[in-house]
Amino acid sequence: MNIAHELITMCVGAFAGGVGALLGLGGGVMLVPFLNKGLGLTMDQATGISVVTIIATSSAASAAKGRLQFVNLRLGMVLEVFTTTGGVFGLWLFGKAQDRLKEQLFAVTLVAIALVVISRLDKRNVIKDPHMDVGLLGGRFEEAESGGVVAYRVRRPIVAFAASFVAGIVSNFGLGGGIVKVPALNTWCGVPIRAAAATSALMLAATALIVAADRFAHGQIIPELAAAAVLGVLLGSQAGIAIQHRTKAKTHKLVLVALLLIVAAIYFLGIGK
Amino acid sequence: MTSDDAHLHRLELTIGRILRAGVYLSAAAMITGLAMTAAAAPHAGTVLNAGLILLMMIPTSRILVSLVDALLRRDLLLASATAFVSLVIAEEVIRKIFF
Repeated sequence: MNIAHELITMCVGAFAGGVGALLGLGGGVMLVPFLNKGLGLTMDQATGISVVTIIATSSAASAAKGRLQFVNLRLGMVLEVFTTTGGVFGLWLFGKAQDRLKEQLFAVTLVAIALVVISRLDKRNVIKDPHMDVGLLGGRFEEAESGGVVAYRVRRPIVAFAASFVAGIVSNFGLGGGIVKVPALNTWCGVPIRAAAATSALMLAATALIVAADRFAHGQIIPELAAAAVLGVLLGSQAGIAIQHRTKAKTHKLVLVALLLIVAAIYFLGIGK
Repeated sequence: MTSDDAHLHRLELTIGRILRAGVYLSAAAMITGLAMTAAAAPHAGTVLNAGLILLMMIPTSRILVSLVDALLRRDLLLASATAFVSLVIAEEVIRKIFF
């Protein structure tokens, strides 16, 4: 390992973190191919570093001022049961798989995510009655746009559980899985997009931790590169969040789909390395 | 605001503090570790690994704090959910790292 690798990793991390925050996706989509194809790390080493950066961005994003008020802590803690179980299931499922198979599954996952993004509906699900009974898992928060406290119930919790389990499996590929949970919570379970995104972001760290601990224990996390990637992604995601509000949501989605499909194609065709 | 909401709000504040402290501490260790690596100083790897462990402790402590909070409030649903997640993490970390 040399200093040049760490510097490049930090820069790529900053870029991936920035674009990731801008598009509503962690940096994993770019970081994993860079580490795997660019630096020649194995899939386990590359996804290990990626999940470590997810812990950092999830924690930093949730710690940002005013962010936790959108988090539905009750819902998050319940869904974490499913994300962590999914993570452990993924470790068991892919633990003995060959690198080539992991690469192909990574590509399949990216295509599936691209399809989710394309098909995604944008609906608002807030009920402007702060005193309504939100049920066991619902929540309420203050929102300036809606002019006060808004409340929501969680419908079809089984969908939220299933999406969280899948997100846990997906974390084995160094992806956060927020892109799986947020549309499911918003579209099918009636959770407002802000609450869905904030709750999902907080959960990411615990989900990523399952895979990170596994890779760390197997000595697959190269500490110098992991530190460089974490610091880069932290800086980049701050910048990404800052410019997020100035661009159009539809443009984000199209860029995201293009990016996912390009990376998937690289892996399907076995380009590089 | 109901007393339940007030409790959750207090928990939010505690969690916010844990997240911030964790991010700053681990980032500081990683910056120091990378600088030591660049200077070819001894024990750079130890400092970097400490940064990684600090980072992994952020979600762990957040869940443990939530577990204690749920137990104190006798919230059975959240207590069992956080207890389950704590056990999964403990199993992962302890079995994998020590055996």
